[in-house]
Amino acid sequence: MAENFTVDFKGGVAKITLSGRLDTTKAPALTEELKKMIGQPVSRIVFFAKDLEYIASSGLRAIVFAKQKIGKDTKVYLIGAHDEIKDVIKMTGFDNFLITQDTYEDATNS
Amino acid sequence: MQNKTFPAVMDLLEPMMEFIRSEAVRQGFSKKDVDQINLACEEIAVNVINYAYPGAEGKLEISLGENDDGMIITVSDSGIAYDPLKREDPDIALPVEERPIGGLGIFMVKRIMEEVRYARENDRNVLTMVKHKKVNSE
Repeated sequence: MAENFTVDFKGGVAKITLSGRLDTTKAPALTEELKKMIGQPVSRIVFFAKDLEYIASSGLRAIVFAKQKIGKDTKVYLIGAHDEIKDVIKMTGFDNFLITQDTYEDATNS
Repeated sequence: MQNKTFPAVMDLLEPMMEFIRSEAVRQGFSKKDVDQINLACEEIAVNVINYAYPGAEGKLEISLGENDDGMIITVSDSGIAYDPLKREDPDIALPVEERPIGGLGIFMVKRIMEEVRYARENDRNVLTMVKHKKVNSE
């Protein structure tokens, strides 16, 4: 099964590009990938979500995991998500901690 | 009314959801609503797959219907008695560091669906959800 995400981790910034449907069958692979960052200095985790079509709560859990386990001071960004995805994020209250922006250039300025 | 019974295994999650999605599309729900119906049903199906039949094989039955209000989805199994609605809602105002990770799925189901009911009938768990057609889901 092809993974529907790519990870680029350099200089304390993890850029994760999500695509397709992040459902319960796919989310554990993402969590595994995020686990590799535990104990390393990570200042930012940037989820690029332009091509993400759908997220289940297991996918959201993977994102919460990133915040809870990787570092209290790690900033978590969600970039370019569709309205459908943003609605789900809002519904769960995750918009409290996810920095949701249209582009990453904006994110670097904040 | 349409019925399908699946072995309760994660490998069949996608065909289960496809069954539900195609009926939701046929009933005229928007793409956004179809996605949210999928999301809610996935949470329920995954609960059954993971917990209804500990150490054993079992089946999951999906029934789909339609009334004036909208779509009626029933997910049932003959596994151990479990009412997922009894779980307390997570406090979504808590800072994420303090937030327990469980309970989120059912909370989302309750937010997405206008009605959610659980019953234990003839030694089966029967979860019924209704998604209205015109109501915006925030």
